[in-house]
Amino acid sequence: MIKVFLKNKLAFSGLIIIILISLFAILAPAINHYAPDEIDIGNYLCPPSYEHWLGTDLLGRDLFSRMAYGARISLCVGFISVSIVVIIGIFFGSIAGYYGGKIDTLIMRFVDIMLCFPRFILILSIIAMLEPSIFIVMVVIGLTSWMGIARLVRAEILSLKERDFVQAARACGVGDVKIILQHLVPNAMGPVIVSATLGVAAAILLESSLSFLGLGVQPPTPSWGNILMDAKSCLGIAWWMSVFPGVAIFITVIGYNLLGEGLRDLFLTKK
Amino acid sequence: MTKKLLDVKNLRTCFYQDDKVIAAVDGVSFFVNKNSVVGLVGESGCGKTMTALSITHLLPKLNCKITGGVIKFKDQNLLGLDKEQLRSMRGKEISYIFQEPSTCLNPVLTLEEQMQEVVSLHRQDISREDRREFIIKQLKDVGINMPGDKIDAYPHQLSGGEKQRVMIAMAMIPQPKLLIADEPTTALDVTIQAQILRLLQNLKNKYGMSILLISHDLNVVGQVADYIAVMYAGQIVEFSSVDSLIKHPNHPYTKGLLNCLLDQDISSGSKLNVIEGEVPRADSYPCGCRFHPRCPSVFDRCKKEMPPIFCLDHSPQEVRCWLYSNSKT
Repeated sequence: MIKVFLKNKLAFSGLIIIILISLFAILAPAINHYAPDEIDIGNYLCPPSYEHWLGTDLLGRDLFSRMAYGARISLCVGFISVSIVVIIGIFFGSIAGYYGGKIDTLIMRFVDIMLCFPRFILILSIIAMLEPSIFIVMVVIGLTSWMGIARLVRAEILSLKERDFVQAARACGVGDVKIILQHLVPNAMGPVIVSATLGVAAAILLESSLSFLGLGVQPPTPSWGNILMDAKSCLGIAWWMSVFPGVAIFITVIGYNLLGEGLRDLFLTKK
Repeated sequence: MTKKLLDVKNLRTCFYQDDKVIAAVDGVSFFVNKNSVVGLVGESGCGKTMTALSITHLLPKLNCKITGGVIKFKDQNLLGLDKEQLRSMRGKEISYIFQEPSTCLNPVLTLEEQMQEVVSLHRQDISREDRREFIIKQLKDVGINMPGDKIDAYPHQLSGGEKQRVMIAMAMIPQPKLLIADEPTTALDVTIQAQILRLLQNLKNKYGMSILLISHDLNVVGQVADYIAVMYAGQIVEFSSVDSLIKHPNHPYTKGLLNCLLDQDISSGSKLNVIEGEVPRADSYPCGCRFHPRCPSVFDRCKKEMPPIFCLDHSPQEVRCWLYSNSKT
């Protein structure tokens, strides 16, 4: 399985990109000699140099350092919101698929209703009502993105529950909850993992957009999105401030998408 | 105290399909004694599996229902139990082995993980540390080579015979009183088939359990069973001990089935015997005796009235056929 994966060059390069970005985030304190919020007014808007690898921003803060710490935030938001998505999605999807009938109709119509709302506008208005913070951003992204996974899991479980091993488990006296958790969900994980990987990319993009609009991660905490927001005011004079965070977002999203598609080839085509 | 472990009386199970009610099992009665093997034989679609699923209440939920009869297990009517009681009965007292061993094991779990589940459900007397040891012992019991290695294998790494052995090992974990084996050898080749049958018989003697063996193959059942129930079109047409069934088959259908078995005189160039015609569909049973369109000794009464069950002199031998109408019902 791993060999097959390694043969897929695109997916493998996606994995490499993700590992590099993750290392960049994890090692942030070790590879920077500037703190992300260390203000040095005298050196504002320095272009990239030996001293400041990616230049400085309007307040003279080191961009490389802010990017590294921003990577932590962005990846965190990606992972945690997708975890929420996966948990809620599997919960509703498996219940709907396993029990069927009225419960299924109820849950799936609720999913349809949720899907009717334009997601971005919905998130914007929820966050606007609450106090914007990293935590709120993660939760709101999680609570508004689980419908796809719920549909996937339901579809998988609808067919899995008719398989003989489920009948065999039932014949052994195994209860509903255990059948769902131990027999059905692990078998449905393939498409969930693929969708979750692609979901991380979407969540990172969403967080950046929100931060760019000032409704995501609040300054002075750096995130790729709010660095871009700062860059907006000096687009003409400091190219480095918009190019580097933009490239970082682009590369990360590409990385997750490549990995997700690679995993899809691996999990979903072999059956 | 009766000798009967399982006593099924007048069981009726129906399918509901587009407003139609189809009786897949129609008035089935038989019993399984303690420590004995009963074979349930019949062509495909005659309701063997439905009978077995009814006993354990594993029928498809949506369109299937038991509409009548009594299923007594250890003098307790299974039809009167609630869902929880039934669930603890399944597995613990009655185990079930399915036809296709390859699809009955969860592909994403190792053997240990799957068997652990059953152990933790039904064998609280075995401590967590001893479980692995116990599972290895169970695998060894059913004749799996190198059980210490196989325990960490995934189902796809096993052969068909091994999978069926694993299924049997799993079914044996709770030390059930009754094992329902639904065509346990159909998916296997003949040599493995013989081994599995021998294994089932050994386990039966070792643990003193009873087996309800479902098969379409009289050969298979004849090797191990004490009693045989022959099913046709949702009904049991003959129920008797193996010896008397094979020596004195009474129902024309049973005679036909026995005639179809391979004899030694195949070398003489004679063709294999067949029973003409096919099993009627469950929604269009002929009136009268359901076997009459195919029966060689059919007469007028067969076409009009459904024969009741007649008990013959050398009891327990029961036949559903008008030929024996002078016996008591």
